[in-house]
Amino acid sequence: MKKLNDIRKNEELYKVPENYFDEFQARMSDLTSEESTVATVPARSTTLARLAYALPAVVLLLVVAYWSYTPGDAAEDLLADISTDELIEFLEQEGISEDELISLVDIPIEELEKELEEYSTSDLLEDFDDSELEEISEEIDLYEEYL
Amino acid sequence: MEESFIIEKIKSEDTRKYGFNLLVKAYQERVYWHIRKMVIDHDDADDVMQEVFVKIWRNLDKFREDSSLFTWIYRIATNECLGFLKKKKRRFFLPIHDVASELSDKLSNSQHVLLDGEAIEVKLQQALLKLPDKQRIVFNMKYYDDMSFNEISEITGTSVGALKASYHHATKKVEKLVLTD
Repeated sequence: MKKLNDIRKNEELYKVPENYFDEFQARMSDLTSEESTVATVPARSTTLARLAYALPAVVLLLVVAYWSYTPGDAAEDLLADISTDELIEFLEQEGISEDELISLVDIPIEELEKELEEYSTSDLLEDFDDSELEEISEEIDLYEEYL
Repeated sequence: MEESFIIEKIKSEDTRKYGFNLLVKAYQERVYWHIRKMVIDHDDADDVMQEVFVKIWRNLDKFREDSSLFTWIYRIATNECLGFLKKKKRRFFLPIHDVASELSDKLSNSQHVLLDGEAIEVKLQQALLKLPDKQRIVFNMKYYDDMSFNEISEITGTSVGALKASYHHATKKVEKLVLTD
C-alpha cells in the first residue's frame, strides 16, 4: 500500500484571485489608518461636538424654564404652534426614555397603576387602528420573542 | 524578515502601524493557506483572514512574547477558523446538506481548484473533510506546514501525546480512504 508521503504536498492546489495578497495588505493598511485616525481625534474637538449635540436640549430646557415663570397664556400659545407629531419626533430624537417622561408627571405612582388596571385590553385595542396594529405586529417578531 | 525586528516595531506605539504592515507582509500567505485548506472557499477564507488580522491589530498590545509571534498569529487564525466552521455548521439543519459535502463539491469544481477533480491531491483534501475539524487542522499543520508537535501543542493547547495519537489516527484513516485502490 502507498503512503501519504508519496503524495506531493501541492499546497497551491486552490485558485487565488490575481494580486490578492497585495490587495489584502493594502486593505489592512487602510484599516489601521482609519482606526488610528479615530483613536487620535483630539479630546477638545469631541467635547465641542458633544456640546453641539447637546445644544438643542439646552435651548429646550431654557424655553421650558421661561414658560414656567411666565404667567398667562403665552406658554400655551407657544405650545399650540407646535404639532403633537413634531413634539413626539423631537422627544424621540433627544432619546428621552418613557421612564424619564413618567418621572416628570406629577401623579402618584399608585394612581397611575390604578388607571392602568381599569384600562382593559379592548380599550387598548380601540386606541389603535388596523394599520397601526399591523405595524406593531411587524415590529415584534413573535417567533424570536416566544418560540 | 526577522521576527524580532517586527516585534520591536509593534512594541513601540510610534512604529506600531509600520510593524503591523511588516507582520501582514511576512505572515499573510502562510495564514491564508492555513485558513484556505480548512474553509476551501476563497471568499470564506478572505472573511476569516480579515477577522484574524483585525483581531491581531486590535490586540497587539496583548502580545507578551511568552510564545513566538508566529505561534501567537497561528493560534488566533486556528481559533477563528474553527469558530467559523462551527458557525457554518449551525446554519445547516438538515443532514442531507452537510458542510463537509458542500466543501467536497467545491473541491471538484474548477472554479475553486487548479487541478483536475480526479487528481490525488484533490482526493486527499476530500478525504480530510471526513475528519473532525480539529483533527483536520492538526493534520494540516503537521503534514503541510511541517510543524513540530510542540509547536502545534502551543497553538492548539492540546498535549503533545494527544496530538501524536490524533495525527496517527488521522493518517491511517486518510490513507485508507485515498490509497487503498
